[in-house]
This record gives sequence, structure tokens and C-alpha cells, in this order.
Amino acid sequence: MSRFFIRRVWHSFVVLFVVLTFVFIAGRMIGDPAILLLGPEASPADILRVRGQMGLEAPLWDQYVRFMMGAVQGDFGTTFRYGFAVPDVATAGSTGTPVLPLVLERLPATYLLAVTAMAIAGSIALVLGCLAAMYPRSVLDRAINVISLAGVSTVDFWLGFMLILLFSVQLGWFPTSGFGGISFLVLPAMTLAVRPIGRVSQLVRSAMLDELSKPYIDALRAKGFPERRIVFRHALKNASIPVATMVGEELLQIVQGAIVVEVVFAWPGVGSLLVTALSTRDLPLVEATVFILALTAITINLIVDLVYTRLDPRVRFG
Amino acid sequence: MMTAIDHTTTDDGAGQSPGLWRYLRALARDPVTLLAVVFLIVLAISALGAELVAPHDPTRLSLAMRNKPPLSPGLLEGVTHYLGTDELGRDLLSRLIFGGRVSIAVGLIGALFAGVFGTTLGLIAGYYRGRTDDAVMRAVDAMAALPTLLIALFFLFVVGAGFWNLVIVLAFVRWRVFARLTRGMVLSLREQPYVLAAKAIGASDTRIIFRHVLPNILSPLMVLFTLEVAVLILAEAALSFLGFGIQPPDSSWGLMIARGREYLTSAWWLVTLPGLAIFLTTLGLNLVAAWARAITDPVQRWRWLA
Amino acid sequence: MTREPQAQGEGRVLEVADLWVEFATPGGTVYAVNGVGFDLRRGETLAILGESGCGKSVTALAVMGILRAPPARFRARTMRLGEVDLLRASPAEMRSIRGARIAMIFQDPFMSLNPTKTVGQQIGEVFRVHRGVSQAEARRLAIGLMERVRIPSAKRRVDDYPHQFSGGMSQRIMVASAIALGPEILLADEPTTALDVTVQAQIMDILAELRRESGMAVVLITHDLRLAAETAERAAVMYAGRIVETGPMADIYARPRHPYTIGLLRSLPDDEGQRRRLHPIAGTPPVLSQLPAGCAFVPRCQWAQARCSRELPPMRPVAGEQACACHFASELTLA
Ligand SMILES: Nc1ncnc2c1ncn2[C@@H]1O[C@H](COP(=O)(O)OP(=O)(O)O)[C@@H](O)[C@H]1O
Ligand code: SF4
Ligand SMILES: [Mg+2]
Repeated sequence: MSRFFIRRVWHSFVVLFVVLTFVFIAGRMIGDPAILLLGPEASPADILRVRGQMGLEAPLWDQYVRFMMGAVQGDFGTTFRYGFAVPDVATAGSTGTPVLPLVLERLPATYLLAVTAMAIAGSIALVLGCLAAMYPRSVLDRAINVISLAGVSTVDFWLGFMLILLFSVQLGWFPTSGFGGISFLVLPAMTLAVRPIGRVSQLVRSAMLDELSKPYIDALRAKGFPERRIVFRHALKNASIPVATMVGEELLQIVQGAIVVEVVFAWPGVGSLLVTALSTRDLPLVEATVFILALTAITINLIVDLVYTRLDPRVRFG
Repeated sequence: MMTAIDHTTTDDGAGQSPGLWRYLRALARDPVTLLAVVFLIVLAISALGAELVAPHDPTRLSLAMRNKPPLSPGLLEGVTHYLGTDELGRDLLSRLIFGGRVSIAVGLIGALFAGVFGTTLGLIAGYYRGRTDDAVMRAVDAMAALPTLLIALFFLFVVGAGFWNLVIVLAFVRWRVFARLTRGMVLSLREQPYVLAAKAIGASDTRIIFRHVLPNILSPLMVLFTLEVAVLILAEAALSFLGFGIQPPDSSWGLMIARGREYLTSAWWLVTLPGLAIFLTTLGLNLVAAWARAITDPVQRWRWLA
Repeated sequence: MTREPQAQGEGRVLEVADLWVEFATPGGTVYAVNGVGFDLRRGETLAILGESGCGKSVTALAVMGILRAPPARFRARTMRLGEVDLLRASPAEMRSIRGARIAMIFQDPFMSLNPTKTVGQQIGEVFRVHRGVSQAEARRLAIGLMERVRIPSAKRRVDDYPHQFSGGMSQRIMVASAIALGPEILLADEPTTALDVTVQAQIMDILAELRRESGMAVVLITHDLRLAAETAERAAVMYAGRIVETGPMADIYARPRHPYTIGLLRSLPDDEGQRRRLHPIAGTPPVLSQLPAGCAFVPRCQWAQARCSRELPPMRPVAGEQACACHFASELTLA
């Protein structure tokens, strides 16, 4: 268990290291940060000055080491322009707000949205998947199959607009966008939940079908247990093992869906921050956001792997 | 539901290699999938022959005809604007037809690149094992640990938006899916008696891969390809919506949603209809893929071809 | 459906008459059980014998009422457990009977246990569901049962998971949970087929001991004629979903009448256990989706006549309690 734990954590670090390296390479080698900052129309003189200020004239190795050291300490530099109306060529890169706190400040909103969406998706998908598996090939099963395929095929940000049109504009039940009480959370969370509902319900169905076809189910029936008990206390618990391994994948999908959905609902999370940073070509902010989102994803994978070993006694002892 | 009882003497009936007509017959008995196939065929025709099919010139502006609702009469050609007009008075149906061509092209070409690249790496990794395999699978795992859209956004941010950049970046983030599937299948195939026999008689690796391995993994790969086209169409929509995909004056369904967003309350059709087009297309692809998977799966297929 | 007169069930704990089971499959309808009937007397062991695929398990599942439908369809003229008409019992009644009055153990003990619950939980659950006892009480009772089936250091092992037990120990656990509520009948479907020979003997010993102590009747389903001969008082031999011969086990073993039973006996190694001259029955059983009109054994039978393929041989008494479904039963001798 602890050997596994250490190895798994080590893998996560390696991936994180690779991500940071890629971010560095992509940011410094494929594009010139000074041009990213100033835009392609900037004058050569301005570009040269900014390059100097940003330490871009130093050897690449030197820059890389400084970048990695900074990242380890949570220092991704200061924002190019976030919070400023007009980019200031003279001071860019040398002064300004550190980016990491900006990102961390946005994190709770994204987590709240993702976890709510996951909870909605998980509970609905569990019910749909179990129903489909309990009556395989029935009309109900076929209907659930089409519903889940429709969920998978949904354009989530577009669905967001449709929900706004219906529930905010027409019915006036929920605010169109922004952040506040529960009412602000409902539409974005529902939007975000639809695609996972499709995927997870199919997963639950096939895992349940698999489980229900096993001999021990016959043995339980032979003991005179009620069907409900067999399905929910035995089969579902065991089916949840393969399903649990997919929860990480689903959370990842939700986090990536959040990037777009946050924009639709003006939800003040990391996703909308990333899009702002990208559109304003704010490289340090982009790097910090990508780092935090990658860290989130990697942590999710790690936690799921560790939880998995707790769920399945065969892995726990084996 | 199957039972715990052994199936040793169960006749697995219509098993072996059903001809094309059997697939068509099975399709005819599945109205939902049939509908999806018909829709995709219509879509393909309209995308290929957009110039012939579109009722209007998709770029013809008309200030007098801005944001007209569906079924508004056309002023110039006298042809109805069946799906209304956009904020510049252009015919929405025609723009959907031309925009669809771009969205579908991104999906198809992106999936093709990802498929060729991923399958090749998967074949090499699964067939030769060893270091290559380790390296490929490390890369696959590392990329799978990160959200696809995040990587794509970051790279598009660096290399810039546009059709070809979009296609290449999407292929770059999705090749892993093909690589993983291919490798898994090759691993189990390479121990098969007929592959071992081919090796024993001294067949070259290329020959074994192309004659014995590839043909056997083709149908799962086709199913995956279909699913990936849908995934990439959705990704294109999201990236174009965020401003990092297709750029004006080109258009795509995702970009149309982005541009129609401002008029969400005043001209609902501008956002609703392109989104609906994406939804129906991806749903159609998913339905066909699910059907194809069931029908080519040796365990399941008797159910459909009986 | 006609009802049997009530009085008939003298000393009989289980009566099955005219049981039919078929499976709807894409390859056609599989006629798995075709008019099977048997009685089980209080405390006796009845062996149901036959090759793999002849419908033994399906018969047992039908009696338990746990066939999966679809794909199964089933009907019977009579199926009664003591005074209870199983054909008319509600699902709730059936549940209260299963596991309590009639229990079943399966061929693969390891696959018959839920891998993610401790064996104590799985044995104790029977008490929890049927008797509503507390968790602690269920655990205590489970330990008692594990001791009864002679699982070493039961107290320590009660919280272990199935994968920590060997096949033989797993089957003991299955037995423990089957006998938990003192059933009148135990259906044992090839209980030792998946186990080593020595372990086989241990399980059979435990079953024999439990039978002596509790007086429960056992239906021993097996393809092993010798095992049946050592254990059972009576036997029913099945072929292609039908019972082809019944009677006291000793009589059948000493003087089988049906050509199929004769073949089974001949295919045994000799008494010293040396594989001196084995005569396995040539050919394979018929495809159950295309059963012939006459005797299903025709293609493999050395005595078959033209009549055999035309007429289905009915079950007829041959000698004493022995009965046989072969047109020429009374003329055949074990050559
Ligand atoms: N779920 C099922 N679907 C189709 N055929 C089945 C099913 N279960 C059992 N059968 C068929 O019924 C016949 C009897 O099976 P079974 O009772 O398990 O034989 P056995 O005597 O070996 O226990 C076999 O031919 C088997 O193929
Ligand atoms: S009825 Fe005919 S074929 Fe059948 S067992 Fe008797 S002799 Fe053989
Ligand atoms: Mg059996």
C-alpha cells in the first residue's frame, strides 16, 4: 500500500514536471513572450526593451532553471496587464500583481461548480444506469441509451445559452449569469452535468450488467434476498469499483467543460480567468492558470487511484 | 441478461462474416440509427455541394434584412430565408451549410491525422514492446492526465488560431486515444496462433502487421474514428467559441454561436440553430458508432444480425 | 393445468412433475428441460446424473425459482415443497422459502461469493435478511456456522474476504450459508466438480455429516456416477433435458437399464481406479435447439432401431422401483 502510494505520488510529480517544462518550452521557444505581450504590431525597439526587462536575453537554460525554481515556489511572475485598462509597455514584466494569488482566488468558485455538477451527474447517472441494467433490452433501456447518447453529444456551452433563454429570459427563475447564492449555481452546474450524465450512465449500465451476470448474483437469489438488496447492496457496490476509476476522468472532463461554461455564465472561476488571460495575451497569468488546472487534474487522478485501492479488497491486500 | 449457466452447447447462430446486405437489413430494423445515417448522408451531401445546395450566397450582406426570424421572405432573390438571417442580414441556412463544411472538415481531418499517427505509434508500441512501448505509453498517460481542451487552448494560444493550426493541435491532443486502443489490441493479437505461425514461417514484421494485425483491429478503429469525429466537432465548437479556433471571415458552427451570442435575447435563432446543428451531427455520429460497435462485436452481434 | 391429488405427497418434501424450460436465443429456441419430474423424500439424497449440458443446473434453478427470464421460459404441472405450491407462491413467499427451507450451493464456490464482502458478512446476511438479527448477532452466528463446516480458526477468519480462502474453504463457506437456517432441502449443483479429489472427499463428508445431524434432503447434481453411487440413495439420470432412468442408486449402479446409463457405467475406470479400459460414449449430445422427434439418444445408441427415431420412448417401470425410458429397456443387458 505505502509502496504503491509513494510510486503513485512520484508519477504525479513527474507529470507535473513535464507539464511545466512543456509550458516553458511552448511559451519561450515557440512564441516570443515579448511579442505575445506587445502584440505583433509592436516596434522592434519596444520588443528589445521588454525582452531585456523580462530576462529573455539570458541563456535559455538559465531562464528554464529560473522558471522552474519560481514555479516550485509558486512564483510565476507578475501579470502583464490583468487589472490594467491599457498595457503599459514601459513597466510590463517588471512590476505588477503576482499571478498565482489571482488564480488561487478563483479556484474555490471552479471547485464549487465542478463538485456540484459531478454530484448532479453522478446521482442521475447512477439511477439511469441501474434502471437500464435491471431491465436490459427493454424499452426503458433503449430510451435511456438514447438519452445518454444525447447527453454525450451535447454542446455544453450552447446548452448553457438555451437554459438561459428558457429559465432566465423566459421564465425568470434564475439569474442569467454571475456569482452569488445557490440560484447562480443552478444553471451552470446543470449545464456542466449533462455530458457526464451521458457518459457515466452508460458506464454504470455496462458495469452493472457485467456484475449482474456473475454467478454470485444467482447465489444471492438462491438465499432469498430481495432483488433491491441484491442490486443495490451487492451489485452496485461492486460495479462502483470500475465506475470509481472513471470518476477522475469525469472530473477532468467537467473541469475542462468548466472553462467554456464559466465564460457563458460569467462565473468567476479559473476557467473564465484562463480565457481572459489567453485573450489578453497575459503569458504569466496563462502559465499560472495552466499550472493550477494541471495540478488539479493530476491531484484528482491521484486521489481516485488511492480511493480505488480502498474500495477493492483484492487490490488492498493483493 | 445472461445466466450463470455455461454456454458450451449454445449455438452462437449467425456468427461468421455477415455480408453488406445483412448490415443494411439490420440497419433497416433499427429506425433510430437509420434516421441518424440518413441525416449524416444529407449533411455530407450539403457540405460537399454547399455551393449548389445553399439557397443564398452566405456572404451577401443586407442591412435591411438584419436579424430577421426564420421564414422571412427574401428581398433580393425572392427566396425565403428559411432559418432567418444574421446580424448582417446574411442567410442563416446558407451560412449553416457553409459553416458545417468547416466544422465537419475539422472533425474529419483532425480525427484522420490523430488516427493515423496514434494507430501507427500504437502498432509499433504493441508489436515491438520494450522501450518504445514504455515511451509511447508514458506520453499517452501523461497527456491523459490533463484536460484535452486545456492543452489545445494553450497550444493555440502559442501557435495562433486558424483552420490548419486547429486541426493539427486537435490531432496532437487526441492521438493518444487511438494509440491506447491499438496497442491494447495488438498486445492480445500478437500472441494469437496465426500471428505466431506467420512469424514461424519467417514472414516480415511489416507483412505481419499489415496482413494479420491491422485487418483484425480495423472495425474497433473505425468505431473509434467515428466517435472521435464527434469529439473533435465539439472541441472545434468550444475553441472557436472562445476565439481560438476558426477565425472570421471563415465561419464554423462554433464561431456562429460566438457571434450570435450578443443577440441571444433578440434573435434566438442565431445561437440556437448552429448549436442544434452541432448537437444533431454529434448525436448522429454517436448513434452510428454505438450501432457499429454492437454489430461488429462478436459477443453482441448475433443480437442484431439474427 | 391439472392438479395432482393432495394426498400423494406422503413423506415427500419436494415434488416436481412435467417441468419444461426453454431459452429464447438467436440460434433458435433451446429446449433445455423437457418434461422432467422427480420426487424427493424426507432426508434422502437424490442424485441427478448426466453429462454437462443435459439440463441439470437449469432444473435446479427452475425449482429455486431463480431462472433468469428472459431468456428463460418455464412451465410445470407440479412443483411443490411440502404443503407449498411453488407454482402459485408470490415472489415474496418464494423469497421467504429460498435460503430458509430450500437452499442451493453451486459448482464454482469462488465465483459464488461476493468478492467485496467478508465471508462473515455473507453468511451472517442470511440471518439479517430472514431473521432480522443484529449485526453483532449475525457475526456470532456466522462464526458458529463456520465452525460447523470445520473451517479452522473461524473466529479469526470471519472477517477475511473470499479471495483469502482456497476453493475447498470457499465451498465450505457456501455450505455454511446454505445450511444457516436449517433448510429441509439442499440442492447441491456439482459441489465438488471444481475442487481437487481430496478436497472433494472432505466436502462430501461435511455434507453427509450435516445430513445425519439435521435430516435434510439433498439433491446431488453431478456428472460423476461413482460419486453419486457413494452418496445417494436414489438417482435420476438425465439426457438431453429428459430423465431417462430413475430408481434406487444401488439398482441402477448394479444393473443400469437405459443404454445411456449403461454407457456411463462403462466409461468409468475399473474398481481399482486404474484407467484400464475406458469406453467413453461415442458421439456428442444432440443440439438442444433441434431435438429429434423420437429418442434423443439414437445417434449414439448401439441398440437403436427404426422405431427409436419415430417414437419417443415413455418412462416405464422395469424392475422394482427402477423405471426407464427406452423402447427396449427390458431386453437389454449390460454386455
Ligand atoms: N441462459 C441460457 N441461454 C441459452 N441457453 C442456456 C442458458 N442456460 C442454459 N442453457 C442451455 O441449457 C442447457 C442445459 O444447461 P445446464 O442445465 O447448465 O446443463 P448442466 O446439465 O451441465 O448443468 C445447455 O444446453 C445450455 O446451453
Ligand atoms: S429408445 Fe432406442 S435409441 Fe433410445 S435408448 Fe432405447 S434403444 Fe437406444
Ligand atoms: Mg451445470
